[in-house]
Amino acid sequence: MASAILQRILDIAEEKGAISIKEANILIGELTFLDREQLAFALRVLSKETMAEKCKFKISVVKAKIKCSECGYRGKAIYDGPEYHTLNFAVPLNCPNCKGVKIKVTEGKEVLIRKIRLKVNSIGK
Amino acid sequence: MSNKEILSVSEGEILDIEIEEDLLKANRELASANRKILDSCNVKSINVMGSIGSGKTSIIQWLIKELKNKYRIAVIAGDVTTDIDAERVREAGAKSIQINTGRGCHLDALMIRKAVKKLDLKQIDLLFIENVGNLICPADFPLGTHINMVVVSVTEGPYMIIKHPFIVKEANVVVINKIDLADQMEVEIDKLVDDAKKINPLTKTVATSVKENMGLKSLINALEL
Repeated sequence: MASAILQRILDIAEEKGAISIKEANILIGELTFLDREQLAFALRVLSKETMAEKCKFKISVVKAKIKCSECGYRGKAIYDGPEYHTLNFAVPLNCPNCKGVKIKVTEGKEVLIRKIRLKVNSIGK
Repeated sequence: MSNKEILSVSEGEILDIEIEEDLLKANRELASANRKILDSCNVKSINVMGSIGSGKTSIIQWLIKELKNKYRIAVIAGDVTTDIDAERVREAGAKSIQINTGRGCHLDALMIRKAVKKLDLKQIDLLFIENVGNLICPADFPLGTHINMVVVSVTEGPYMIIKHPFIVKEANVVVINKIDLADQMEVEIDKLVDDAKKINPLTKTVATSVKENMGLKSLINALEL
């Protein structure tokens, strides 16, 4: 996933005629299997000898939100299970409002490249 | 300020670009496209996930032998390397394609799109996609299949399900395999079933032993085949 993120950023930067990438804002959902520290490390390693070598990768984590198709609840996924599930993140199992199980995750599963800051020679096509 | 001045930026100038591009969403969109392709050819598809050695390939072979006179079956087998699994299912009587992911720990929707192009879908009724042996990453990458089946075996110990809630949450069917070894392993099958139901009350659970030919009919029913 880190390679895919970096490749996409490099492709866009090249398209815009960049000479280097200064900053990249990335959002990762807390329900993905990505860890912020590990992703940052991987991006630093992978970006060596590319125009993103000195890029500041700003990675934020998006909290999970759900939608319940039984009671219509939309909002935070609140988990009331064992403590080990709440230490890092939890799998939303039930609707916190009606305890129904027909829930859909609406946020928290994304890997979003939000914005990049480039140093350019001239604006590309 | 003229247009030219607006469009040109001197060397070293900084340019901010809004992208808002979700890479996992791109996979989900490709998965939806895969589903449409499969639906248009009336192919039912099953994504088979589970750890290395849980019995994914054996279960697919078992189903092929039982169902090959009812359906025209193909298998896309994913592994880091080797074509052992593709060969095993070919011997059981199905067409097969091997995908080697190299360092990749899961299949993704694009890989399936490419593999599906190599199959004549009009000549297939049922497609098994055997994912790379892994209970973690495949949960992030839907492939567009109609059914997600997760295989765990009692030899993996009593906590395999509860420790991998994400993949169970996405599963339509959870297979608990190698139940002939449950006593020796001191694993309670009912407890594994309870764990699966707690995580995903909508999932179907089936206990099987390929070796002892136990649970095949229940599995076929659960998969609605």
